[in-house]
Amino acid sequence: MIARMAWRNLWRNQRRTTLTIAAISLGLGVLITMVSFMDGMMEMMMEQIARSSVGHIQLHQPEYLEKKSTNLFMQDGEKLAAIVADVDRVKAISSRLLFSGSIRSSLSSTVRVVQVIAVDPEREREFSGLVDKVIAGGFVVPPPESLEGGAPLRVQGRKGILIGKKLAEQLKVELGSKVRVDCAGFQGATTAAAFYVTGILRTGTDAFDKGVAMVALRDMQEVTGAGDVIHELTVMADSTENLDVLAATIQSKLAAAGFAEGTVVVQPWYDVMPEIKQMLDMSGAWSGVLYMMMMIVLSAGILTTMYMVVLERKREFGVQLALGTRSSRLFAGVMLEALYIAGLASAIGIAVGAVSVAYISTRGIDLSGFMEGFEFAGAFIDNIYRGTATAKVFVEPTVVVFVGTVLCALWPALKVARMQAIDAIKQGGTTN
Amino acid sequence: MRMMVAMVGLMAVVCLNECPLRAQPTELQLGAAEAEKVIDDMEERMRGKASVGEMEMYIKRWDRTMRMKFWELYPDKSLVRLTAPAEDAGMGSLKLGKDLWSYNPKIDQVQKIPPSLMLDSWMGSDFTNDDISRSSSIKLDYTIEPGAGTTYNGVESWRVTLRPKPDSPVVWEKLVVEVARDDYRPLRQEYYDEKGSLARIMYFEDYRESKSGKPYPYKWRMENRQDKDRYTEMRIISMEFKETLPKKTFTIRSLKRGR
Amino acid sequence: MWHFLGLCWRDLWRNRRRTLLVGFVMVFAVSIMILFIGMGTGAHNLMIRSATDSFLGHAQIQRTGYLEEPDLEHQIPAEDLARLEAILPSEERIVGWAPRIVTGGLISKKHPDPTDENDLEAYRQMLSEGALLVGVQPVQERKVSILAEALVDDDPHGRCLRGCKAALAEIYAPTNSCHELCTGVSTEFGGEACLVLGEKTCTGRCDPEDEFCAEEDCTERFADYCEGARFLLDEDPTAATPNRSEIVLGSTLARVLGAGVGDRVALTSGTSQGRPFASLYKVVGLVKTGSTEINRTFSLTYYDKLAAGLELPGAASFVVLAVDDPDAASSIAASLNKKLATQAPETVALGWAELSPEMDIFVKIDQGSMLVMLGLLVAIIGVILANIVTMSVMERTREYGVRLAVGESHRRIVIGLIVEIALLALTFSLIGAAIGEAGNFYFASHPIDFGMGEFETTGVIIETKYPTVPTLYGFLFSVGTVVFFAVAGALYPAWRVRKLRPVDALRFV
Repeated sequence: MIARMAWRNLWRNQRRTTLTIAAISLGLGVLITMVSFMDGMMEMMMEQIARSSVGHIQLHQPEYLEKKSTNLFMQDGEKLAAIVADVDRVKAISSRLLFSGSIRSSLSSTVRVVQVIAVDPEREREFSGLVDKVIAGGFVVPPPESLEGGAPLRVQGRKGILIGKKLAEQLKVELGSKVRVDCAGFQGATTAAAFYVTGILRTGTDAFDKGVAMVALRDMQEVTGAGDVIHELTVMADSTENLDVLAATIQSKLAAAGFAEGTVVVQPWYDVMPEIKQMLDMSGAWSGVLYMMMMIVLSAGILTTMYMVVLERKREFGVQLALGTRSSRLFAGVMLEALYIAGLASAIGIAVGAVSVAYISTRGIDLSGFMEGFEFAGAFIDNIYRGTATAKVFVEPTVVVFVGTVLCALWPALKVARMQAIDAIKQGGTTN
Repeated sequence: MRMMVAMVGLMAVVCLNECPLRAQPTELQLGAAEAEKVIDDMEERMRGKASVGEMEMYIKRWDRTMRMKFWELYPDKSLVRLTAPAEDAGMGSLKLGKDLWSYNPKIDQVQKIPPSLMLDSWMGSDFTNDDISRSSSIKLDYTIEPGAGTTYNGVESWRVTLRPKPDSPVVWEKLVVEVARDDYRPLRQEYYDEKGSLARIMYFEDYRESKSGKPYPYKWRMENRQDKDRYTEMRIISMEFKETLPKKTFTIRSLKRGR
Repeated sequence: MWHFLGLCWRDLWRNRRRTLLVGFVMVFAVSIMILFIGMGTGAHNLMIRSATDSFLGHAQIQRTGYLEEPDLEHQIPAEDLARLEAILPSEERIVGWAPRIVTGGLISKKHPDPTDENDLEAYRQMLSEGALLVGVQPVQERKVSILAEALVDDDPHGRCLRGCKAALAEIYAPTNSCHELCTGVSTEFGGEACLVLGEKTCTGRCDPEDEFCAEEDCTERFADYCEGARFLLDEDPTAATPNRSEIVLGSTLARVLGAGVGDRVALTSGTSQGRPFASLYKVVGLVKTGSTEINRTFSLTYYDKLAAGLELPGAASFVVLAVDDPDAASSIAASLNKKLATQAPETVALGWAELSPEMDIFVKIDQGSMLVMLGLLVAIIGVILANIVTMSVMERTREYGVRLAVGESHRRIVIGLIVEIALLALTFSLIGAAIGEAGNFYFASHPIDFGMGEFETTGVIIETKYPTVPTLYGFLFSVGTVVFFAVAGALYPAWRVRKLRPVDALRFV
């Protein structure tokens, strides 16, 4: 009974109610959009980072990350990879060797120092965002389709190398050129080897375009004569949840297979690159600040709105009191109205939010017109921002706004309950 | 320096009296087999050899002349010490196997040259650290192609092409060695980039008789054709071939203190 | 007109409660916006500063071509540098400048020779690190970078000990072990005693029983080795000694080399004439800056000596500039270039955005995301405000009806309405602005700490403690936004008022 009356009360002043609902629902829509955007950015960064060589979990020799010494490698790379690949939840793996070396060609006197990354091209492909940045040739190995023209034929069967465009320019090389790479191999032994340029990439950042050269893992193992060793094994899991558990599982499986704890350590990405985690936390903190600020404004707005609504109807309440309605009923009535408003606003807000989320999660906000991506912690990050469309994006803000609306109605409702009929009628209604 | 010794060896291979010469070819072609034999002979003779001497190096790029003493023990030990100019005297470099150390008396410090600097120039010259330290083994790194006859500066010569094997860490597309037809002394050596342009060229001049009866060049010049006006010229002041040299010549102590 | 404004103002206050309610929301909105903008600006500035102040500088003047090929062939020659030094002081926007000379080289700790001079393994272990040797002028540096203040002193006790041992070793015998050293001095002192001895000597507390110490005045003799970590001095104390100087290492480089304050390091490189350059340095301090790159590869020494050693006296690799407004660095550089084109044509001025495009991108992305966030904030504020204003105006329908009935013109009411709202918005947003900027001022000296320590990105270390920055544009923007939305909110009811018939209006309660 009260319920129906409350409902009718609402609609007696259509305009007022509509405005109120409109405001709250729009506010909710904006909030939802914000959460979607922030979440999306976060996820995008994490995914990009995972894709760009960091992965979800990494394996190293225990001291390698700290000292970065070439001699801190893991043995039995193949066996290691096989065991890890077999673990549940592991989607893809890639092994690597890392060296610092210098590179030169016959076409120029310059010698450049580069970071040499030896990978398994097939596996690394699934990880690396760099695959999309190749502008000529293939990803370390030449693509089979490109078997026409002089260069690719020349490199067939040879050790291939993928270098950045700027480096290629400095060395004056092109696809098929022979280059010589010298690095400090294991135990300080000097290693010199010949590679043929099978791919050129362009990322727009000097770190890659000038300073990185990628070769095949097998080739590097052969050249250094080290055999089946690797510096790093990267794992891509099915999701970013519970990586610590997965890491522990992998560690124990390895221990069981003979890889003692002292030889291999398995870590989730945030232990390997704490700075990435920190940056994400930082972004999260900013989002949090924004969220809070928006909530403050929204709450202030809703509170004021509800209060004004009640104020406006003072006369009406006064009359009801005079007619004998009990305060408690008035109170309940106001609260119910607020409930309806909250409900309607939430529904509409979700609808509004859904529309904008749909837009930003599919089309995304593309900034790549302004600038290319950038390099962060060895990862390459692109510039299209998409929002996410998970349940959380909708549920959380809605709940907050719903509850907030109802709560904001409390104070005005209490005021109503404490009204005196005569004062209300005298003061109420419109002002002057 | 290695190059020098290798070249000396290449040249010194066919002695006029001892080795049975194949029949002098009448057409202007040196068959593949012949070319290979030449290389073989040279490498055989170089085994177990040593040399010691003094030389001068002029670098056009910096317009600078240096004097140095050198000791070399085939296949992979060498020591060089600067004797002039005075402010650089005492500096040296020591090669043992693949490792290269350099010493500077001004700071009394021996530093191991990291692999990333192997391709850097040696002492500012047009030779690289790697040129100096590479062990020679021509057959390992190159395939030998049949040669052709021509003349150079009025001397009749053979041009033999050496092609680096695809996997050998030599950047050049090919090398062409030109030797005199009569005594197989090297006249010049050309290095070609992969586009076929001449990138470097080494000239061998001033041949003098030596105790072993094989004339060898006392002057050779490496010209960099990719960068204008750059060459390095080495002039041997005195040199002696020996059967061997004491191991203690090639130590760090020796690098620092000299002998 | 003033009379009219006065009337509107009075109208506002006729219903105090309503006006205050609306105003309350406006105050909130404006102060929050200003705080947010303040925080964002603070974070932005901090990020730029941590890159530029540590080494890059706001801008640099380089020889054309140096950016692509930073080697000894692309130095600013002495004559050009002299000309620059003549031009720069008169540039108003440039508040400081410092020349630097930079070259790459191999750095290694000066290790005493292994006992067996032919122990090749030992020699193989003596690895050198690639490093950048940077010659600076400390007096000028202070105006353009915080290098001099970035000192870290990690191990004062150990440093003193090392220094002492080094001194003792140098004086008495070129040996490695303290034991041997002590044995050399006196067979009565064992290894432990030697350490203690060294320590005593360092702190100047000599025991007259110590035969060793009794020989000389310990404090004075070894004081040199126990001084605190410091930056380079304004005057180079080593100017007279060839091949010996002082050096300040990046903290990571020092760690990798295993060197600390008091140790000696050797650096070899090549001069501009291709000759070998080698020098010994005593480490006098370590720096830790906001750039991991710097910490890992940089070593600083005296400009004059280095330039002379590299056979480039009076030349510079580049000149670092400090400007009055870092955000305008690129445009300042551009206008400087016009002058340089005629006076020193081989040089070019570059702002930090050109010097480090990666940093530039990162800053742009950061700005972009801040703008997006601000936009969202504005959206919410706009919605709320418009709603509230609309409602509050609608409330007054009856009042308008009365006024119309009494004879006031539609036009006057409409204009009055809008002006009232504008006044309301202005007043309360000014109050909100005052609160917000007060907050910014406060947080400017008590930075907001996100409590996450610091982390590194694009080679720059980013702190998570932000001072806010009170800004004019923040003020203008926030106030403007609120006024805009307030007036926007008043437009719909205003439009309706035009058509209002008193009869309908009076029906409203």
